[in-house]
Amino acid sequence: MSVFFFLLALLLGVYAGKTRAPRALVNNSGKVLTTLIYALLFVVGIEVGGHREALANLKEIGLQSTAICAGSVLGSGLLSRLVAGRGDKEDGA
Amino acid sequence: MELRALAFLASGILVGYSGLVEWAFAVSDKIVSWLLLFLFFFIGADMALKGSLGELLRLKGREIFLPFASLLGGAAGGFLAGWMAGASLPLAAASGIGSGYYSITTVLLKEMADPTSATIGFLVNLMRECLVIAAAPFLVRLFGKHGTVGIAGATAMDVALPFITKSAGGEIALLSFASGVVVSVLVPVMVPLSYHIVERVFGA
Repeated sequence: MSVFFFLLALLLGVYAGKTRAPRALVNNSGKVLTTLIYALLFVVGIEVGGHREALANLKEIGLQSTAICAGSVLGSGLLSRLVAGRGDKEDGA
Repeated sequence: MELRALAFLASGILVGYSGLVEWAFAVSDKIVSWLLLFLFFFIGADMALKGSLGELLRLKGREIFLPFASLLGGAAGGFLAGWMAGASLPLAAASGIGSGYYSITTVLLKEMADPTSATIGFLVNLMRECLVIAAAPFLVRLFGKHGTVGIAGATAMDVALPFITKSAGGEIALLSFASGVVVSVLVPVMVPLSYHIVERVFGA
C-alpha cells in the first residue's frame, strides 16, 4: 500500500481529532493505538517466524543492528549537541 | 510497553516458526496494511487531541532545531554505520531515523521491505531506548544535555524522561518532553520518506 494512503489516514485522523467526531472512538485513541501496535507486532512476528532465512542469519542481523544503532546514537547525539547545545557551559565534554 | 511489545513480537515469531498458521502468511501483508491505515488514523487523532504539534511552540531559540537534529543525525549516522556494516542503505537510514520508536519503525519496515528488515529496525530502536535508560549519566557526560535528549529521540517524552532528568537536571524536563513529542509525531512520516529517498538515490 502506498505511503500516500498512510499520510491520508494520518491527516484524516488529525481532522477527526480536531472535530472530535466520532467522539467515542477518537477519545479512546490512546488505548486503540496501543492495541493496534500490539496486534501489528504479533502479525509481523508471525512473518518473521515463518521467514526462516531471517532466523538463520541472526548473527549478521545482530551485528548490523548494533552497528546501525551505534551510528544513529552518535549521529543524533553529536548533531543535537552541535545545533542546540552549543554555548551551554553546563553541558558535558 | 517494552516487555509487552517484546512478548507480542516473540509470541508471533513462535507461532510463525511453528508453522501452525501457514494460511496467515498469504494474508499477513493485507492485514498489516489495513492495521497500519487504522494506526495512522489514530496517531493523527491522538496528535490532534493532545495538541502535540503545539509542543513545537514551547521550544525556544536554537532548541527548536533539536528534534530535527535528532532525526537527521540518526538517519545520517545510521546510514554511515549501515554502509560500513554492509547493510541495506535505505534500511539503515530508516532504522536510524526511527529514534527509539521501535513499534512504528518495525511495522513500517515490514510494509516497505521484508521481515528481516523489520527485525533489524526493531532491534536498532529497542537497543537505542535501552541505551538511554541504562547509560544516561554517561551519555550526558559525553554528549551533553541536549545531545542526550537528541539520542533519546521519541522516548525523551516518556520512557527515557525520568532517566534524562535524573542525570541532566530537572530543567531539561520540559525541553525533553517537547522534543520527544515532536520526534514522535514526525517518525511515522520520516521513516518511509527517508527509506524511499535513500532507495531512489543510492538504490536498495
